[in-house]
Amino acid sequence: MTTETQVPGMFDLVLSDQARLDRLMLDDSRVITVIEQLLALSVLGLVLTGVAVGVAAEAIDISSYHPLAALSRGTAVLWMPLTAVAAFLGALSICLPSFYFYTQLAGIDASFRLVTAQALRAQATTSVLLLAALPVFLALALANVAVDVASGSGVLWVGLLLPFVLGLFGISSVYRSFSRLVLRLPKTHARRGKFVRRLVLAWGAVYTFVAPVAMFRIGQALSELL
Amino acid sequence: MGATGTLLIYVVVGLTVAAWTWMARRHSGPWAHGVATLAALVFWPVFLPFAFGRASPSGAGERGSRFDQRIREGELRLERALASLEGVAENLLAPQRAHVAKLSDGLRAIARRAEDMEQLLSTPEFDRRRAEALLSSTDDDAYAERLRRRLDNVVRLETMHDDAVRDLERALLQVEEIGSKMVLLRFAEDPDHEALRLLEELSLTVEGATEGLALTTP
Repeated sequence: MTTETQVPGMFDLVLSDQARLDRLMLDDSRVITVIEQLLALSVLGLVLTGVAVGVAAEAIDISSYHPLAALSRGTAVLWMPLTAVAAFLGALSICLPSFYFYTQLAGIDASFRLVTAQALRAQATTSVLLLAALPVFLALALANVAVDVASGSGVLWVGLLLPFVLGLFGISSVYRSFSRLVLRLPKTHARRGKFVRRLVLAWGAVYTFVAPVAMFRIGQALSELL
Repeated sequence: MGATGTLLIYVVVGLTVAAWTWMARRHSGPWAHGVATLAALVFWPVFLPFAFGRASPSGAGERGSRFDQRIREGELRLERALASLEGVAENLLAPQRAHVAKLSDGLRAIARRAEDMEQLLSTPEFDRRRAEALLSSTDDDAYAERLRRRLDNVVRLETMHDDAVRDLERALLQVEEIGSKMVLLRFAEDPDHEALRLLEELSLTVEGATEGLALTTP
């Protein structure tokens, strides 16, 4: 039973009741708990994705001239989860001031807290979808290792691109949320046209630029250490 | 600055935010307290806005109203009441969460309209005392006639405002009453239908009030 002080299961909220998640984010007494749970969910999804890609990279033979040869450096199963968490959450942290700036420019007077919660909502939604997609990815990797029916590099590309592709669903959840919240939040100035769509596209664009760079640089550094 | 320097700064800021989290979450259980503090140390950029940022804006629409707090409390009360019925009538009541949000939006629409009227009544054009003073001091019949029409408008607006506030107060009281009744439904024989009936009753009150003001719930 959900009591007064508890926040309902975040997994359920992300999957099936995002409108309720909106209201919890606006409730100052519970938003910090919401943030912690969204963060935990994000980390869980990213760690498991990193482990899965790391295991696949350990098992699949890659030529040293292949663009993905870096994955065979060090112990990928150790550095890949750390890279995934540090890159995606690090990129999100770096982008937070830009997200806030774009939101204000769009005419929505959202607090920095709400912007942070919305960014974590996108990552948590992506993580939940990653958890759902991981068995398929592992089946593909197994198919390559055991019976050689799938291309090794193709499997690794799928693993690396999965968070970005599923991230589109995460960003669309932010779009739907802002579309609902725009009626409740104060406005900073007159707004015209599809301003929520432009706002979310701006969020997505800056994050899509920063996250792969962060992933490459952090992966490069950690693969030499671990 | 190299990686070590960057990491040092990251850890120093992280320790500050972790200390804030340690103080702010001291009423949590030891496990939650420790995990939250550790999370704040590692992921401090996410926690920083909660340590130093301003609170979320009110959920009352584009401008806050003096009824915000009560509407929010009523909404939470109904949500908690619905949540307390989980396992008893959850299949039937799950869609009602959206309904509660819609009801709250209806209440906020009434509150906003009442605030709009209050603002209008505070302008010189709708100042009843000023209009009455001008009426008593003028000898010009045509001007006096215009002032009388203005006074009629002021009285009409005051009546509409009073009606809106009364309807809102009634709806808010009903929200409180229905919230309490719904919590008790957990022990009733047929809680699902009774809960639906109570929510429909509340809907009718809010719809009646919004129709009275020629408003439509978003």
